[in-house]
Amino acid sequence: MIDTDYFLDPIHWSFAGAVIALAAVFAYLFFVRSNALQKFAFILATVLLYLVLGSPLATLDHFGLDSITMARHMVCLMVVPLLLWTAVPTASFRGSIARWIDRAMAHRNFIFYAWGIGALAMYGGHFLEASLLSAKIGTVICGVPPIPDKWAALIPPNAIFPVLVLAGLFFALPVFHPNKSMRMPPFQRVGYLFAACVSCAILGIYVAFLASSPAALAASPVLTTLRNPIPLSLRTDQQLAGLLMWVPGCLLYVTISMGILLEWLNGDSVQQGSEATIFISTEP
Amino acid sequence: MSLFIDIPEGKDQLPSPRSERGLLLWFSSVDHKQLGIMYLWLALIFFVIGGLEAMLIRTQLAFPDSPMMTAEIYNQIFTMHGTTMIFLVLMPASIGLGTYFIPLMIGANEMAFPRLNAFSFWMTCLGGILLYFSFLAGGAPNAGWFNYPPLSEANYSPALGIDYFTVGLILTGMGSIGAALNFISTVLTLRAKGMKLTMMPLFVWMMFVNSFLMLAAFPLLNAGLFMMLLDRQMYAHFFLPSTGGSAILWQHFFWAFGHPEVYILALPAFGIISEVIPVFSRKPIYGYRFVAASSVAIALLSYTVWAHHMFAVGMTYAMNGFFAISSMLIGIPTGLKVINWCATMHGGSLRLRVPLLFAIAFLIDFTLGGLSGISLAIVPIDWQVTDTYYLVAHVHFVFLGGSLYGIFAGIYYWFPKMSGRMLSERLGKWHFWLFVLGFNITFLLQHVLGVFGMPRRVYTYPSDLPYWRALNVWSSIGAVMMFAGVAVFLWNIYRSLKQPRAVKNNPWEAWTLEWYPASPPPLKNFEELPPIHSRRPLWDLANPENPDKRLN
Amino acid sequence: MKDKGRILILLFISSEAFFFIALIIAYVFYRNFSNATDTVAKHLEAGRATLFTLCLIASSGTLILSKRALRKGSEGGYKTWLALTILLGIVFMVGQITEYTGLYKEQVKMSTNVFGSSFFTLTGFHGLHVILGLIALSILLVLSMGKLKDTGRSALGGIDVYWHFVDIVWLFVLTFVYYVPLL
Repeated sequence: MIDTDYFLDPIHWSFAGAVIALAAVFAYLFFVRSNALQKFAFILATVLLYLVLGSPLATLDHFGLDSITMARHMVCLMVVPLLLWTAVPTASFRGSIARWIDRAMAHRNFIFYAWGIGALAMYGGHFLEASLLSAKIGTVICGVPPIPDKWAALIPPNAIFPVLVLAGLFFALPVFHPNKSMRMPPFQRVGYLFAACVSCAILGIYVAFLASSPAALAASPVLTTLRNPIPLSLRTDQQLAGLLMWVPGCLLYVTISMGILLEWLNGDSVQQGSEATIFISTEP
Repeated sequence: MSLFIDIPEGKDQLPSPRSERGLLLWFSSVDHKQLGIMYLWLALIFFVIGGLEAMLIRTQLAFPDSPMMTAEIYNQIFTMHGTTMIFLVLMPASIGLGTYFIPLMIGANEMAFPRLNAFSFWMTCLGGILLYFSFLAGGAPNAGWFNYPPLSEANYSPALGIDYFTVGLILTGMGSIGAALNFISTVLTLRAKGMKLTMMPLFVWMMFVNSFLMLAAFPLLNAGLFMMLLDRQMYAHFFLPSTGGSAILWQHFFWAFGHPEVYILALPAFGIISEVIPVFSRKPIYGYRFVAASSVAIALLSYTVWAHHMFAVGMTYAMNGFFAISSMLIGIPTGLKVINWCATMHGGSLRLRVPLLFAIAFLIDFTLGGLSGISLAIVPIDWQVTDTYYLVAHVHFVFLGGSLYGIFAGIYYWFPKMSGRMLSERLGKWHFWLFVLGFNITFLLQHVLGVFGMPRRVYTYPSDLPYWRALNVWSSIGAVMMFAGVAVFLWNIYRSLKQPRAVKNNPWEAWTLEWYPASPPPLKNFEELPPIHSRRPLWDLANPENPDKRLN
Repeated sequence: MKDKGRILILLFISSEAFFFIALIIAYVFYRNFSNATDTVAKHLEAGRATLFTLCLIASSGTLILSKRALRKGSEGGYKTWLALTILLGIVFMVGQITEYTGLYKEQVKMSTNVFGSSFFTLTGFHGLHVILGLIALSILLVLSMGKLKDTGRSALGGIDVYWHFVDIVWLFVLTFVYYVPLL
């Protein structure tokens, strides 16, 4: 089968990436004192990053597949940062960066900024990538027509991913800060994630339903298929992209919320007494 | 003559309507207990009306080619039956129980906003009255409880019924939002000292989570209903495909509300069951945290599944597949709950009183309803049986076997607290067996009818179709049994209310705070509170030598 | 925090947010997902709308200032800023009304087509919310003149959240209804 061959072909698996990933894992195991969960989180994060940036999934992107792009973005923005924060042991979270972060978190409206950056990265990242793809492929991708002067093509490929990871780290901070006492109270964390769910759902719904809109169908008829190893029509591809963001994206946050709630109901959460501050008070 | 009516300050806990100004005291009341009782009466009245409509439907369908009703009348009757039962029976009943018991269970004397509470009730009541006024205004709504356009638009349904439908539902929706706002702020601000959120009784937990669900779901319905109203009254084009609108958009709005609505009706029942089963099994609930947390999971997931109501609309395979998967996923937290309830009963010394009987029937029939739901989430099966009696059976298993059994259990359980009188156990058992047997006869058979291809919402059917006749007759016999059961229930309530108040504070030896004050509680619920250190304060009080693990 | 009024208003606006999300979704749906052509957008003047938007934003600013004045104990500052807030709100509403009458003269109505319907529904519901806020603010102003000063003050904490919310909703409406068609 052609698509299996595509995935198994070693040409598509980045050797340099694998070396870097392995080096990162070894460096982590050697230099950072961590427990099993943290080790697992770090290794998983590295593997995911490798899959996103160095595996055939990454090269699939060249075929203009919106769904692959969406999956890569989700991994970078939503999954990897959580794992990275989990992998940082509380004890080793010190130094100037940690101090800077903690000072930023002390700001009154920090969580609004953190949330906003997350949302901005999600929406901006997706539509930027869509314009990049459409410039490269020359068809309408996710409602973005190819721009004549192709400024989007000037953005270096993969430059968007570090930005996404950074934004994701920022977004995840109030929920996954390595120091548990710096996190928000449990109920507030669930609310924060719920708001993220809503925003994921809106993007997902938009992308998914845009695929069947008359304009999209006029731009590229239903059966238009890009030459790629996974035979997907443009329409299915875009629907997959939207649904990926909508359903698994929400599920991810629901699962995390469940974890938070169970921990809290168990009574071993650190902020036992802080439930009085359920709502953010903007009063001084 | 002075226009000023001096409304006397209430002193009696539940003023008799026959006393001087007693009726006024009820109308003007802002007491959460009186409002809770009024919600329940409202639900009961509409339950009888909706039940009579159901009887009309079953009488019509009992025999082929029945001449009793015309198709036009039949459409109105089934629309009103569905709308009444969902918006005017199950909603007010669960909100009423919440209004009555949330403050009592968290050790508060009142809701956070008593007047908002009264406002919510009267909005719901007004909505119901408007909906029924449509009968006098030229015909009831007749486009089904989900009111799909373009059928429900002015050019296909020119009678005013659907306008009353939209306005009535907007009002009840506002009432529900008001109640939800009140529940959340009550829970957040008025808990007794020492009671943390993690220590609340599960009924309060569920109502708390449920309120968030209501806050997010009803605005979507209201937005859709406003658009529908503008379409009909101001000649807008929102849902009219012929002039550029989109009928599918209404379906999305409606089901984005409608699926959470299923859980809005189910979660209070889950809460009641989580209270009843431990008390009648003489064991604390098994896995409190799973039951509590899974309700949040249900609440969040319920927003990612709505399009499974629309598999037949013609979405693409990718869409259908995703929604099938997410719909099945939502079975997991619900299944978790069922397992916890079973584990609570396991090894307990069961007291088979009526509330527990209803709880057990709930476990069985709700699980069946859940399973038929899973089968409907499988797209090809849905294509085959959607809009047949299979779907009708499913929805009734979820709403009756789920929500209504829970509410019945709650009423039998809490009636002594609300009125100071026990409901008769003997009549209660008659009610239980007649209703549950009748229910299962009626609706289990309808699964089969649906698979045989009987479409829903047909006002009659020809006589030469194999088995249709027999199945429909049996279905109607079951409905008569249910009706008899409800009659016994009404008689039971009437008879109990005739007796003098004789119930002690805690007749069931339950453990939550609502059983601490007298039955019925005085106007000010708590003069003093017992110490609260665990999820079962009254257990600690009764068993000082063997208290629960201290949680605060 | 046990300020139940504030909890109530925060919950209320989150519920309202869903209402407006639904209305905005309808507008975006008709523009992007249906094959109708947007006939309303070309009658709209984004520049003019921006001007009136500035008034609305400024009114949020003056409300913040008035609250700050109250906290400092400056009774006069509180009333002045409050009155200015109401005035700016009224200016915004006048802008809305003149826009509506202008559109009616150009035969753009609720019944013209879906865009007319959703435009008037969306901006109309927003306008209703602004009017509601104006009524609430006026009550506050009247109360601050009379003997019930303290009652008014305790209500300010809720009304200001509501007013800012109405403001933010308008920014979204402005973006989706006035600016996006220009892109």
